[in-house]
Amino acid sequence: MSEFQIVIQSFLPVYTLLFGAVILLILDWTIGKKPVHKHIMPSISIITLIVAGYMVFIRPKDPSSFPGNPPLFYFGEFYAYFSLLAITAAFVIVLSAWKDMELELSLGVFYALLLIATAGILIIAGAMNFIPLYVGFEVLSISTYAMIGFKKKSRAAAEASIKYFLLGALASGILLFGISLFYGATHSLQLTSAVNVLNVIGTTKPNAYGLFVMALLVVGVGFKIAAVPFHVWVPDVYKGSSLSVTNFLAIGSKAGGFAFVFKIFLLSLITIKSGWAPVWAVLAILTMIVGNLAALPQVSVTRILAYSSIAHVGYILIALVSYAHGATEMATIGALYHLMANIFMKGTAFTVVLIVVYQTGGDTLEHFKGLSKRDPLTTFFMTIALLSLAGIPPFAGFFGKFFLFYSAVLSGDTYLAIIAIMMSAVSVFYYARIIYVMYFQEPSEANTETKTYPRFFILLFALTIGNIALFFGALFLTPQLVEFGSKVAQELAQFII
Amino acid sequence: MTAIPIEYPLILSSALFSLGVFGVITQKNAVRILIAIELIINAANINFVTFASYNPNADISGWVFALFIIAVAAGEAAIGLAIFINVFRNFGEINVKHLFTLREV
Repeated sequence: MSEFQIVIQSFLPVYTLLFGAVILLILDWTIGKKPVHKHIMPSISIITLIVAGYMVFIRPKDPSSFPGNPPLFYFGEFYAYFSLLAITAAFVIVLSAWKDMELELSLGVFYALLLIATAGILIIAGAMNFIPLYVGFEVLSISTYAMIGFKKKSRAAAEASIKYFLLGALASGILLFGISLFYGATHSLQLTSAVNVLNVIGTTKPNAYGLFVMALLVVGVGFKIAAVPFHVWVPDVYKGSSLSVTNFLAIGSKAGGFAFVFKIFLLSLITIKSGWAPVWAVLAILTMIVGNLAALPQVSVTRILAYSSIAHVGYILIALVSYAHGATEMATIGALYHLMANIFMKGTAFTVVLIVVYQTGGDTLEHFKGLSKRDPLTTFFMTIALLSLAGIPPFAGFFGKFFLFYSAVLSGDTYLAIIAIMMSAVSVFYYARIIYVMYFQEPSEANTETKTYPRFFILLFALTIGNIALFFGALFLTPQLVEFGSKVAQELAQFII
Repeated sequence: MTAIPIEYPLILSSALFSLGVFGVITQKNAVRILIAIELIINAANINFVTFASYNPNADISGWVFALFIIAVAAGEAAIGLAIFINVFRNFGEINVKHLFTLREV
């Protein structure tokens, strides 16, 4: 194969997603007004996602063939894993939005935006240079801005979209300023250039300039992954936007944000880890404490899940600290595993909230009363998701937390593990409260609607099976998991010369 | 080419960045906040072009990135203005001070 063909083949997943998006836009423009499009659009999205996933697996894997010299992209295991995460997340959203978006016009535009956002995550996961990294980040952000404001008649969605847009645009501006100073110091936009420069200088202690660059980058990415104190937008945006979009923010956009964080901190700035490890340790502690404590007084289940999502960001941030302090393999396994578990847990939980909103018209604990009597199966799936979020075996959330906390112990940051376990204990309270309300309280008179939709059932069933399978996968395939984790960790570390 | 000392454009970009952050903090009108954010992005752009011009390795990636940023910022502004119009239709104003209907507990 010629070099050109290899480059084309490397980008086929992204091209497939963008091609699917264009097809959807054309269909929306031509047959968008006919009722049949309600099923055509999601079907095309699903086919596109499956083809894109296949293209990721058949990509050229030889590192010498990656495009650019020095390579602008690196399509290794890290890329494959995050592509898988993004495509799985998009799959969940397509299935849950199938009903959610039925009342809205321009379905094709919504699914096109979803596919473009997925392509953005793929670009982030593959980038080895700040130009594609930033472009992928903005492709993801800009399409989520549009998705949040998609319900044009809804005041809540309008408010959520303006909040997310203003904070997101500010964060990306600050991030850009940080990257520009990084470029000034290293004379190159390659992610690996900081490593080389610091090797020339012969020090790993960041000076004031390095700390300033690092601070700008932390603020920029902190908004995207919703680490405290940059989390203020999360509850309002999650509550205001349509629930399928909330679901995407909680599982897809989060995976993209973490791919971005890992690329910048574990790959590019790894040599000045003595500068950023304490910062992320403090942010992780704050995120865990604030996320879990703020969830306690909430009555809206969407807001409870939004704060629990902040708390889970705190758990994953532990991985950054323990990676910097030497437990690279366990930290990598923990972060990757927990992001996958997050898709199954949060995907199920938000889909159930969506069903309850359809049945009863609201998402407060009041509306969840006696759900087990009206809809036992949905209640069962929700219970599993909540137990998994609380970290109770035999569900995937247990091993996610176990690997993350264990990596903190391995790297000598035992205080992080202790705080995380204490906060997990707090979190059991608000998850158990939802379960209690669903099983042991009588439904109010008004809430007798029992209608569910078979595709929701299929989606919830698949997510729950995935959740349990992930747990037993970690239990029985531990050597393979460790092998995969060390492979990704080596891939991240191979650029440190 | 190097007649201008590198400090001059860097001071300009720092001033623009500070002005942008100041604007975001103090302004209440969403369009003004967007303008302040554009100032931050342009400060970064000036930095990129400056550092590329004074780069000892004759590296052009700073200029390339500046072009990418201009395109991305245009897309961002387009989406942002569309969101503002939508907010204006729903609320009758785009003052961010009055957009607090979602906050509960």
